[in-house]
Amino acid sequence: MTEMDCQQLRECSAELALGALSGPERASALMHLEHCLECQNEVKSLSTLSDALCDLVPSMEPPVGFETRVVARLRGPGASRRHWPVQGLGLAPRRWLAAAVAGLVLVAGGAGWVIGDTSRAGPPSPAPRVAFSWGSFRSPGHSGDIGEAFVSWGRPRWVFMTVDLGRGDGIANCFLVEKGGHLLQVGSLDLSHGSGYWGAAVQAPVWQVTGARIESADGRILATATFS
Amino acid sequence: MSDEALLAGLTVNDPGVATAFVRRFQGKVFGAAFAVTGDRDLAEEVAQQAFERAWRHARMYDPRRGPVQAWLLTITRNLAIDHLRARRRWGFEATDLTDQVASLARGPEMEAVADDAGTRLHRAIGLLPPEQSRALLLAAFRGMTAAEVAEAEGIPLGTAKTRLRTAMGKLRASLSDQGVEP
Repeated sequence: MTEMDCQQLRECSAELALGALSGPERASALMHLEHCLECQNEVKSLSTLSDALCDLVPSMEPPVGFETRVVARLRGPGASRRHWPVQGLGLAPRRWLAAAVAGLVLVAGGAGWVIGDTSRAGPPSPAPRVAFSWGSFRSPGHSGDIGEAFVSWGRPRWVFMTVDLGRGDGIANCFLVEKGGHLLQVGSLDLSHGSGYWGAAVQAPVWQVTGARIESADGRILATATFS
Repeated sequence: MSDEALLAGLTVNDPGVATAFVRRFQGKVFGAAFAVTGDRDLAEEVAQQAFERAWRHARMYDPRRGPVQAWLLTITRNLAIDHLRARRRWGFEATDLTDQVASLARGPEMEAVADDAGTRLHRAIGLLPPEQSRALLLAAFRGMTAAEVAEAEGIPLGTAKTRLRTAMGKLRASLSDQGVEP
């Protein structure tokens, strides 16, 4: 198989982004992309456009019972065996922070929230309601929110934290802050260029959580969140 | 709750989150599956598989590569195309394709004041010559290779490749002119 050169790649980059290249051509293009940053950027740009095209397809109401059938499928054989932590990844906070607030419904009289999807009218079945606590991360060196922390109080209980400090690499530790200030380490995330995320089910007993904290490996406080 | 947080909940088998995740995206996923297959029964099977695959591969999701919805729709599109290829048929007749191009060019919110990137993309598609938008749609939503586009349209392979390249180039340029980063 012959590797494409930059000129050949440019001529077929649109097809590659659209998934319209034949197998051998695709393999030849990918060989070139392995080491050509300029062509990688070209294809990345066109792939973003291709994704945007897919996003144009209008929503359609699925058949009655679709949601139930899908959830049953997810709970089918093997579902209970699958249990893993989320890998640490970076996020663009300004994109998801706005979305994070959308769809939240306050639990009357409680300290937490419930998950409910308010983005579309649901089927007649009751909306899933899972109580959780949520707070946005702040840091003395940054103005505004730099991440978010969730604790879901359903079964299983699980925690999700994400942060974007702007810079810095390495392992950072994730804590929940209990009433009275006691810290409970629940996991760690791998910062890459200051951003990372972590989430997992929590087995330890957790009571009266008031917030979350992310610390560097040497104990410096990187970000704190106070739950609503 | 953010899409990313929902996906994180999916990885720890939270049944409430699984339901919320499906409810949030089912319309888009089913719509994408139907856009490719043109068959409601097959679209449901594809959409169910897409959610199952998302659930199995949730930990592989990398938010730096794009939003959760784009990731999920890519899974859906690829599965739908796999089904069509396995059945050796394409979902739509030529008239359907023309209607779909017109629908994409018009867009669901064109009469509103919306001016987001999607609306601009709709407008840009509307400005493409019909033969270019048809080639684009055949590749983007039917998963056709350039050779298959050429066969479907009865044109030489080189012409099909040129139409695809030119169409994508125009869309990107159009969005850049409007200050949208594709």
